[in-house]
Amino acid sequence: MNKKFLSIILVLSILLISSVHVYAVEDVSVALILPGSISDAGWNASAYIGLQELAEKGYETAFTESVPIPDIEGAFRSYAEQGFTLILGHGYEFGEPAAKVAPDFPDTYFFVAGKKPPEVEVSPNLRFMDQQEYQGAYLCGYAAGLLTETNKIGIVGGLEIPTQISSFAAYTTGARDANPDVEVFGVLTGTYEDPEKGREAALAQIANGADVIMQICDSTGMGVIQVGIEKGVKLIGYGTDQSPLAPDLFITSETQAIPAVVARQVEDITAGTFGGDVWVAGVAEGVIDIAPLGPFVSKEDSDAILARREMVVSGEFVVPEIFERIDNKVD
Amino acid sequence: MVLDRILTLTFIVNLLAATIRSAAPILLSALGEIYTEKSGVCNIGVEGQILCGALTGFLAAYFTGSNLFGFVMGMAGGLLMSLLFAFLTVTLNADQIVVGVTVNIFAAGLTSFIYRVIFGVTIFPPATKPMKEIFIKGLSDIPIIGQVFFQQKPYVYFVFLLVPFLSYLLFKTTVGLKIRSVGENPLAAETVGIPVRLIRYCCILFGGACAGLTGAFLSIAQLTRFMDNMAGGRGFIALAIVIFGQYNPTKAAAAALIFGFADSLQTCLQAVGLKFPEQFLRMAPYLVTILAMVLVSKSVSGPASLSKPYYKE
Repeated sequence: MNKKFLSIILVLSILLISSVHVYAVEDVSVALILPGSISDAGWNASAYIGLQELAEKGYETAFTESVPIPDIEGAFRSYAEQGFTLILGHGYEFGEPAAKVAPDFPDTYFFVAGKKPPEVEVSPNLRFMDQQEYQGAYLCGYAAGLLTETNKIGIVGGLEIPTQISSFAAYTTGARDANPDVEVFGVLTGTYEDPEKGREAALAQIANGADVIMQICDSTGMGVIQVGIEKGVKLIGYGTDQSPLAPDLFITSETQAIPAVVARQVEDITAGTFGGDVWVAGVAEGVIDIAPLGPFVSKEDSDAILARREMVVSGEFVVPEIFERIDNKVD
Repeated sequence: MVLDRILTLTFIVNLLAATIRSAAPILLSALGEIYTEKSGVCNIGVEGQILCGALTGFLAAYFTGSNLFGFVMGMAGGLLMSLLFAFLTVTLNADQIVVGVTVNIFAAGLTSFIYRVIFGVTIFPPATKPMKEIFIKGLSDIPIIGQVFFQQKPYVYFVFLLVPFLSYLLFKTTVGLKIRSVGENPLAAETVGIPVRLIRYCCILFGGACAGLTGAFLSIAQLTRFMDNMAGGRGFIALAIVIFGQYNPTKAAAAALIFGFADSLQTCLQAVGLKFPEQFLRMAPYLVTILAMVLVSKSVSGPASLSKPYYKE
């Protein structure tokens, strides 16, 4: 008798739990289209982990990785035809295809994690995220400027796209604000998935005297980090707090709270406030930030960096967004 | 002035050391492919074999803690993938180009899949023990030359030492003669009792082992990790180096160094802050390779039976 009672209770509670689940989900299904591999330890991996968090909450999710630019439009259409509620394009290059596809599927929501390309119309079911990575890069540059001993620092990037260029520029600005004598050397490797290229870029910068190097290029950046570990130079990571890779070398990392971003879009869809706009997401919005500083950063430096971060959060200091290479260039 | 930054000892030394560094993995794959092509088989699946070697090598080194064992298993990984290629093209006489393309696509998917089954998707990919540069006693102290040639990771020395050996084997021994005759005229070779298919199998497997070892170098010695598609097109460059090097190990070494130089030059110029369109700089190594191929292609003729299946009569 007791056992029967217990099992009924159990079954009922399971039913109750699962029914709670169903109500919370609101029938939102999320598809994610990624430009690179989900195991790149950076931009794509963090988005994938964000999607997994949604899946754990009970949302129906799907994703396609390593989608080359010509196939993006097809990927959007295919998910829209399958009836997904929200389709996320993870990167600047998804902007134009999304703007093209969105008007054809007025009942589907499209979200592009990237700036709105110029001359693109934002239909009511489309939203761009103007993620202000450069604000994070500025703070990283500021930290690098304070911590360099050789007054030479490096930054290694991937493709020549606006977010990367503005991050290069902000990193430079930040470093010069902290240390007017600093020289900044940037290398664009042209790829996000060739660690060897990252290695060579970092080695060349180190040979040139750099003692702090920031990477903003996913898999390519893993090569940068590996060289940093081999040569013992200070590092700044990207995407998530990368310090577990080398706790005594990472000054900080520029982080993007992608899971929070995705969760926010789902909230806005259920609230009916999604779309037709460009959503600005920077340090003040809690999307872009810097990871906790390394244990070797002195109290004085740490205070200066965190004070600078506060100024950016409060709006007291506005980080200039520059779409030009202003790192040290000689004719 | 830009010249002040380029005409410095550190810049030149670093550029030359980087040239040798980046030429080594491509050269190793190219050496294997020379043997494959000399036996009359065009295996364009090098990229896929590199990836396989990168994964199996990494797994072996990670789970046993021995990098040396990792290199051996890297060779085995590349060899296994080339065995598939050999079976399809030599035993079943399938089209070599089509199978090669398939191997590349298959390997890219397979390696990512296996890696994810084992480790899942993680922000912090697991790593093997790092491999240090070996400074060769006495020689590494020589100014400039020591820093350029004798302060490299051990596999770099290995690859360049392989060149004279493989060159001798191919051009001065009966084994080499048999390989070349199979590539030139398999029917005639068979008539004098040379086992055409066996030799082709061996050459393909040798090429696979070289590519696999290249992959293991990239994953274990360079990155200490495996990442998706980490071959980064080096397998395709190796194919170009084979032609550019006129199917000759020594000339291939020179060709790989030229490519390595162009590739390192663009990185080093960017790193000192040269004001020059990056797109052009990044294009340079490939441009150099294409130009060189155009220049030498007239004078190069590959083995007469290259990529022709052999039907036993």
